[in-house]
Amino acid sequence: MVTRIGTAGVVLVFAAGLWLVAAPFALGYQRAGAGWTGATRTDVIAGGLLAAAGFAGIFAVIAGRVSELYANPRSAASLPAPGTGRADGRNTGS
Amino acid sequence: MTRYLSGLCVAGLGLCGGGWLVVAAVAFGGMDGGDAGRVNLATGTVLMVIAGVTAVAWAVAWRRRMRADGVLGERFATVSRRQARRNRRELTRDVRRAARSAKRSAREARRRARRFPRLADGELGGLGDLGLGGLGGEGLGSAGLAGGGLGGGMLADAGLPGSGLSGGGLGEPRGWIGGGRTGYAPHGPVRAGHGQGGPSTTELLVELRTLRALLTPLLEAAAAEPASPPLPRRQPGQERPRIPCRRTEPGDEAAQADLAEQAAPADEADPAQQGAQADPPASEVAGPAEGLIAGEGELLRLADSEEAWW
Repeated sequence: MVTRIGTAGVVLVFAAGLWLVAAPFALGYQRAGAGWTGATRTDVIAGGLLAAAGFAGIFAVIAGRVSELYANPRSAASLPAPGTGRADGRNTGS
Repeated sequence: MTRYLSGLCVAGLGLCGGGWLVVAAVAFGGMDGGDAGRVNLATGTVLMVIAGVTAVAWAVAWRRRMRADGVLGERFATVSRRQARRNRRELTRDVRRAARSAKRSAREARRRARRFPRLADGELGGLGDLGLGGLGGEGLGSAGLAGGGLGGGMLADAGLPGSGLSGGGLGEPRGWIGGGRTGYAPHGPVRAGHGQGGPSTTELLVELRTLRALLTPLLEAAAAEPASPPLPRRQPGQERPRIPCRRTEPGDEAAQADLAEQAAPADEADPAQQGAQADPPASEVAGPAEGLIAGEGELLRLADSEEAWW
């Protein structure tokens, strides 16, 4: 459960970064064809950094989980079997 | 570990980004003012909250994982001073009680040793008629009984390991008979290693009775068996009797003659035996050496034949 919350947080950070990049254009305080204002530059730079970090974080979380499953097949057994959608409860939630 | 670390890194970056957005919106007057300032403030605040929750979640998950892997120890519940004092008092009471019990056991052991000094010192005269003279010095271990003339195999056949008298049962390193007195293990080496306090008199007598009942028939059978006749002794200077081992060959007439001459005086010295043998076969007439040689030839023929190999 806790891990799911953490993963959701990483995804939300990525989404917030995307929102920050798109917000000046979506809300209209950056006119098309005009030079970028200070707010737009701040939003785009901060949003880009956050989106990149969130994207990397999502991949790192998935890669870490997969490598743990490869390293410890016993915990893989606690995953729900395909089709049943039910785990045997041995997963510690990490 | 990678995902926890990366999750924490992303959460940290989110906190920094959110903080920067808030600072930019508040401290710099929202840059251009209008919607941009409000959007940055709202986004920054939400981002900081999300990043904070994410960081806490990843930290908790990592701690759980480390605890499950045994890296972190179990958390002890904090105990109040009153509870700690109570626990200390109980512990002191338990220690005193254990010390008192140990003293009582030692006193009883000393009293028992004083009451049965002969058993404690290993002078078991009652077993002398069983031929177990080595009990006092060697104990009843496997080596001790082997010294008394009874091998370990006989004891195993008699079922003594089951009764706990074999192995390290009453052996001398741990036994109480052999002078060690460090412990008593009536049921084998496992308990012997732990060294129990000491046997009661009843246990000792039961063990000795069992031993007597098991060994008496063996010793009686050994005594009833007739002793083998003593081997003839050779006088100093006397030649050792030779065993004929040469094969007879058709051309070796001289060797056969020598052997016949050696056998002839023996036949002449015993005329009564000659009378008893009315019509002996040819090999016996020639003497024992001749018979041996003939038998050897037959054996060799048998060994060479194909049937011997099958």
